[in-house]
Amino acid sequence: MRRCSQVRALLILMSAVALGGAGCGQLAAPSHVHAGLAAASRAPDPTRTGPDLPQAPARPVRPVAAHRAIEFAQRMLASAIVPPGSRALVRLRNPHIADPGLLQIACNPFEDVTEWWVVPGSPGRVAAFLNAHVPHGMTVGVRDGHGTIHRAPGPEFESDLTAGMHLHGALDFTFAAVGRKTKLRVDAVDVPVGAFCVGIGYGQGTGPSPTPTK
Amino acid sequence: MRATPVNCDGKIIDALTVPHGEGMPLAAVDHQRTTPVLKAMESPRLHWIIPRCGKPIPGLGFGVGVRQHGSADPEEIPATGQVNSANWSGFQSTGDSYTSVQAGWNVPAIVATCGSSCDSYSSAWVGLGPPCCAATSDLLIQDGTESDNVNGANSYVAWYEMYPYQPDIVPFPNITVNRGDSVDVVISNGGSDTALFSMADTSNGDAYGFSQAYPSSYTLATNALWIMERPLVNNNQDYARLADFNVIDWVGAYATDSQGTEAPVGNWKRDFDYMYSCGNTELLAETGDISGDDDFPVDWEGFPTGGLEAAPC
Repeated sequence: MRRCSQVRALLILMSAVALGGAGCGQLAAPSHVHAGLAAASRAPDPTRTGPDLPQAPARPVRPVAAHRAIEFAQRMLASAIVPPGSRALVRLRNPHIADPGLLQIACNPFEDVTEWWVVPGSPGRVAAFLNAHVPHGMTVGVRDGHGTIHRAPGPEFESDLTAGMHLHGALDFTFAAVGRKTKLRVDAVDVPVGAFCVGIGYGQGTGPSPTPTK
Repeated sequence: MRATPVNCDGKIIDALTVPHGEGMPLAAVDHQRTTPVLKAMESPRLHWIIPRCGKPIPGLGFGVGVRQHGSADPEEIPATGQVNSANWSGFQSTGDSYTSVQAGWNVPAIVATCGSSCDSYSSAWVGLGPPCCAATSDLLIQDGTESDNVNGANSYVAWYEMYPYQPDIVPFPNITVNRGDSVDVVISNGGSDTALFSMADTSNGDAYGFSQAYPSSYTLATNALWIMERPLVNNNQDYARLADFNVIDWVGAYATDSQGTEAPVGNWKRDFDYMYSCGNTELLAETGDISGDDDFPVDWEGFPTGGLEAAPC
């Protein structure tokens, strides 16, 4: 997995100063993770396919639009297909994950809903499964600022319906190997059209000088 | 085994703490403080601690207070050209290829440029990427600080970004900055389509670094950049009003080239950027002379008076 090679490269770098030591896919979960685990009330259905994702109106963000963005993210999350034998962990009580003070200066609003699973097998196998089970209505990759979808370094799926309705709509997967199992975090994120973001970009020219007038 | 991050004084930094008390980060990075714009591209990654005791990480070319000069450290050379830019002021290298850029500054305290009736923004950053004003789609990687006035309130934030893959700023994990704080920032090409971001707020002790992968479809441009910018707002369609930061003094501005030579900004071939409004009608920010090879100021001159300007000019 390409992601692993990048981690290895970093490890080589870090080992020189004795800060490294972890192996690919061996990011150990912190001990306090276990204390927070709860039995899942919903078992994953490995055969489920994602529903068609709803279209959100292209208009300035208002509370209603933000609510619909949450619904959109929740539908994306529900569309994720996790491997057979996966066991759901805890759900966030609050779907808003971020510090509003920080996010106000990045994108406002945006929505993120998250769930966790324990999945049999290594992170590599889990990633391979995810990439082979792309939810209906989604494409492997990440959409950039120009609307182009790029094959991302890891399993990430972009909503096909993002353009024109959402600046970003994606599923993101994060892994941690624990023994022979993998802890899997799934984030469904949505930035609706009309969200306010601050962008730092290429240096650009000043254009032609105005024509002198008499 | 996971690396244990420690401060210079041996204090263990718990990077796994979830600040909002909900959820469980599965990797060694606090995902709760990142935006979905970032999250869609995050991957499990390791973190390291910026060696603020002068213990540089090989390959990062970083060590606050300890500069490792290459044996081929050239003498100071004058900037060769002025580039008028609609959004940048600072220095950009010309020629050569760089692998790491660093600098320090005090997060500028700003004053509202036009009262509470309009918002204004300013961004100080270092980066590896294309120079102004190239027509390109190459990758620009950056990290820096934001000093903004929004809805009549000032806000200060540390951030990073990989443009255009990730077109909006993302709050820098585990770094909280306030006006006047002294920050040291490093950005490096990690190889294998990976960028390395490091930042330390030496005023409050926050320090963090991480790697971030980007799609192999991008080519990372390798000019060294030390820039004060007026950001894009309104879905990247408008240049913001430039917040009145008065003056920002860049210190310890260094770059490392692909040969491994680390030298101050004054010793590299470079152009200086002047920020003008569209059509060059108003000077917005002016880049000052370099002193001591690695320090220079950027002065605020205006915002412009016409307010927002459509981008590009």
